[in-house]
Amino acid sequence: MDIELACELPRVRAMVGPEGPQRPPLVTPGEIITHDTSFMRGHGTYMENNTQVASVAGYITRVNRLITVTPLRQVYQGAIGDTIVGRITKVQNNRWKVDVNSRLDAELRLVNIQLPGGEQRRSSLEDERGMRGLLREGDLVCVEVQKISNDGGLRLAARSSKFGKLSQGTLLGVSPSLIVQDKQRMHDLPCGARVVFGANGYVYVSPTVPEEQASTYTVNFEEVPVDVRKTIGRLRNCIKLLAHHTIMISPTSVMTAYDISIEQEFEIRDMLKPDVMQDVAIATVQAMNE
Amino acid sequence: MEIISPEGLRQDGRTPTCLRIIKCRLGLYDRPNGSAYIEMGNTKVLAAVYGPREVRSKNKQNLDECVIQCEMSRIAACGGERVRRARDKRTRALSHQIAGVFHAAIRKSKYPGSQIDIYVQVLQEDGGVMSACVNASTLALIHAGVELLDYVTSCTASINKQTAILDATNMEGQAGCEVTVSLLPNKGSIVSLDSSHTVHRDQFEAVMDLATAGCQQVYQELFSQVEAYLQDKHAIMSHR
Repeated sequence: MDIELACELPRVRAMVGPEGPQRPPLVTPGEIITHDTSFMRGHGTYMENNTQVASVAGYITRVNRLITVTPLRQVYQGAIGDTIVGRITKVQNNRWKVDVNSRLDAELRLVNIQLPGGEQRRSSLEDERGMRGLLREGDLVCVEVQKISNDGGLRLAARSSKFGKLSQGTLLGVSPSLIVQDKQRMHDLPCGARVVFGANGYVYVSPTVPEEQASTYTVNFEEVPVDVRKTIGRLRNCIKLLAHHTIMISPTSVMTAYDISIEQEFEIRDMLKPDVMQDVAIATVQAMNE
Repeated sequence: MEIISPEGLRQDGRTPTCLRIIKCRLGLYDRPNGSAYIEMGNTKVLAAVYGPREVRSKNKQNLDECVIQCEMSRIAACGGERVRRARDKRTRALSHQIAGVFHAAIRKSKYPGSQIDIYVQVLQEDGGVMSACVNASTLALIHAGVELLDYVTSCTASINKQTAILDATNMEGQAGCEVTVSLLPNKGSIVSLDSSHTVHRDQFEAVMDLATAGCQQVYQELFSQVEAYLQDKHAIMSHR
């Protein structure tokens, strides 16, 4: 048995990115960004005595006259049209409550899901009674943000065959600001797994399924072969290490890390060790920069 | 035993206006939204922040702003005497006080209907427990990306005979009083002020001024830590 000491690894210079003017300016709460009142205040800032002050620690982005500060970690804010992954927390009348890594639980109504057996079907009383049969507490769903209500809560919808209940796989939570903005959220990676990069920071890794049974409300309990399970475990650890080293998570970066970990013949379980995590992360950054 | 030696030094070799060494770290755990650790001399505190998230009990929900809850606990061997109950009346009172401090600093209107939970655990106590808890919670909240008006920094001061002493240890605090001041350093406004014993009116001003100056020093320390943390992490974030 090998014994390892749990200590902080020293910071590596190779990980440090662009220097000088390319680097966005950093601010922390209470710091004054500008005295100019003509700027609009975006997320992470507030106005006080005609000065714009930061309220979170992060880097400044300036789009025309709008100044926003993006923190490293935050809860999901929500934007209409985002594909997200969530977990059912409550079954209520006509609707489910879904935990989406946001400050309030989101709401998924019965009328907003595609019921089994035809697109044009209207929901009936039987459907309402059998809601728990479709989705019960603890189930994972892949849904779309349809609307943001007045109090800031999200309304979800799953009105197409690509959304719905997620069957066997593994869920991983990362900061939403680490997920690369992309139109396509579900990717069938060449290594034989399907990854859903939820915009809310929940990433779901599952075996690839044929298109026609991609989304139903029944779970497929067929046993997944060992090599597929290993691939899923490796991908999960890759995403974990990228998040730990705050590298943006996209299909490219995940695949790069995955290939590197195979190339360097790391065991899947070893990929949770801090030194291996750092090695793979450094190699990934270098490969992505080339 | 003398608290201040004839040469004007304290027992650990500090001058009366000198802070103890502060060490801190952001981001220890994955599971909470934010976490931090701070060491002010021998006082060591862990803090974790969960939320903003859906409120747990509906009758507490406030639809205009968020609910802030704080729970403080001490491990059994944190002080000189073994702690029998981790959550006694005193820690509960301190928890309420810490929650009150952050009512003034968190932009509550940004999170209507939500709840923010702060959990602090005292690993070792040697004077200034409340201020270490406030400082650790501030760092954890910053790490969680919760919107704050400003940092909250906190520091204690005490008095020994005629001299005001900054950042008193357990032994120095026992001899006199312990005045804890929490401050929004960029605004210069005091959000909480607490004294463990009575202070003479003539001496109060001097103790307050010293504690306020100490808060500004603590701010410099925390600020440089947060900045170092951001520089460490953000460099890589910009890679797409």
